[in-house]
Amino acid sequence: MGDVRERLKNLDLLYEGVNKKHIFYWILDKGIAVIGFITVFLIFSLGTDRFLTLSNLINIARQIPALGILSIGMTCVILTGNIDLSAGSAIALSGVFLASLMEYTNMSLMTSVIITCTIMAGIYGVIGALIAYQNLPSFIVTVATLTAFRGLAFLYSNKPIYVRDPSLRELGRGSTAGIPNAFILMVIVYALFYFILSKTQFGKHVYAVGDNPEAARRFGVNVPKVIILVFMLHGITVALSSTIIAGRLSSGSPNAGSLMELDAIAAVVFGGTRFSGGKGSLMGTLLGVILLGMLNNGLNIMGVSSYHQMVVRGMIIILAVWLNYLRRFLER
Amino acid sequence: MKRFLTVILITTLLLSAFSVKIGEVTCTMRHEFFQALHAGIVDAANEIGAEVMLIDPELSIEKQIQGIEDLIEAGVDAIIVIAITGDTVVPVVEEAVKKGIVVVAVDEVIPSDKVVTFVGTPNFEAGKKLGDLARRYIQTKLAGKKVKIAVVRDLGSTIQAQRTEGFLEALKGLENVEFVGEYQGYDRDKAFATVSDLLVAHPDLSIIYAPAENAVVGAFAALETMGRSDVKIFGFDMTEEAVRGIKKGVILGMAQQQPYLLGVVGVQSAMIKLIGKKTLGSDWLPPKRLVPVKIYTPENIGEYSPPPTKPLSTTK
Repeated sequence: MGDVRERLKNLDLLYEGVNKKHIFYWILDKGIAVIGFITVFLIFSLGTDRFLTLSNLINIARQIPALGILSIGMTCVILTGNIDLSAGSAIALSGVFLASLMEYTNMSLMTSVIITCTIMAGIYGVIGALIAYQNLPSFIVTVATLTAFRGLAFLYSNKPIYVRDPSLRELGRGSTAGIPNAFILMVIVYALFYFILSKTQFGKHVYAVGDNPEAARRFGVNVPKVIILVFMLHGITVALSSTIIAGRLSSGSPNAGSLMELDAIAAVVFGGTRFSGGKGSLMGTLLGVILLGMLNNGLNIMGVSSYHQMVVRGMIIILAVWLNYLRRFLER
Repeated sequence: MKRFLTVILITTLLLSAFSVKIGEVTCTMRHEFFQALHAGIVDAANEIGAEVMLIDPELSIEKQIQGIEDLIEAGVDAIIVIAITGDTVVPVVEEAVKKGIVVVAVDEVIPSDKVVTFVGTPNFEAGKKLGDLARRYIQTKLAGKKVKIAVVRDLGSTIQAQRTEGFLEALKGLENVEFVGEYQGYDRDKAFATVSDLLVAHPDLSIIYAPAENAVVGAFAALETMGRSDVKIFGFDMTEEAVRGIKKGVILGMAQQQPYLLGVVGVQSAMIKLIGKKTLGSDWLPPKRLVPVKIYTPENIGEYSPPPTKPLSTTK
């Protein structure tokens, strides 16, 4: 037991040493997102004079928070070596539920958000338990919940629930001192999760579980508990993300969030998080989110045709995944 | 030569001074309907030398909102919004209008008084026209028999719900009609599977109402596969498959929307609002500008020609 502990520690030191010493590893680790970020930024800034304006930058800042917050939870899930393919459908379910609370029971935004977060955490806790205790592959479980959540959302309300309470709209579309409110919320959530992942015991366990669950178990980590907690936290980010989307639409829609899980996974991969878990950072994910946001916005503003956009986005995702693979190959 | 150059210079200056940028936010460019609508918009815009910026959110309501925001940033004069769901675009549309942009709703109603007009298909009425055809068929060919009717459609679509309401409205009061229910058929495969299952559950089914292109094609394919030409289809939006179905006598009535015209009238409405006062003396628009459907039956199928899915003109 002590031996394993010692070896784990050494492994940690090895990783840290490698990352800090070699610029090449740094580029592969965090650099993909940074370089991609700068390249895309430059291309759009030079390509059209409408991109690099204050109002457009604020526009982007208003567009990314929903994906940004969802990607936080997705990062945590992927760090444990799991995946959630049902996040987009879960956003639809969470969104109609939140909207119904606000519109039909006249609850305040704050109360509705807290209730929605609790319920989504509970639902994802069950998913986490199925994965952790029954050893079901998360890929399969969440493919199943992908359709189930969408169905539930439509059963709950087959058309968008319009919310008259202006506070919801204010969160999604309004701004404080020029900064979009949703963006402020996103920054707070990032700070919070950054603290959880890098400064707490639990955060270290998340990485350990993803790196090698067996080693983590022998090290004394309660692996199922960590996985369940991560899924519950992810459920909370789903609820928050759905709140922002509902705010942007002024309504909870059963159609919301379609394919959003794919964007979130793409953002996480851009950010350099290892797909098999154990390695990655929230800052990388944030860069990935901003990169995707800039990409969508810039291509739209440059008037690139939609078919070309699909191809360009696909190519960039392949490039990111390939670089991610290259890094794992070099690490061996 | 010099004079010639001057003329060119002046014309280009004039053109650029009047050049109008029109944004179009569609639902998805994977359906022929929206391709035809886009073709209409581009052709109308080319006619007046306007530029079109197309945004395709691929059926994501969140991306549709982002697209409208991006068009505002791109500095367009007018936006033609083909909303995925009308309610969800209201906030961003009102923001666009506040910034002086003319917004025209096409195909799906946007419930806001800031939109200059709605250009669309009278869905309820079109459904009712098909319902009248079905009523006549029941009264002449199926008189006295028990008639089972099923609806196969995209259950999430409000437009298709309106078409269904119109259809059922026309059948009210017929005593031998039993309405089996509404079933999911959002794409061809799903409609195919649904109809196959339906025929097992209700072997005595007489009529399928399929108020969308994919549902019609899927239902027709399923009926053909199972060799059931006694079950008849009434539906929406012509395709080559549907034409074959009508000629075979399996499809008895189709409502053909005119997406190309919807696009043209969309651009026309935006222009009336933008320069109508100066050039026409008024920029008044009715709240609704409806483009009627054409009804095709085995009798008049010879008159059918498909709407263009690519712009007929080239961009200047």
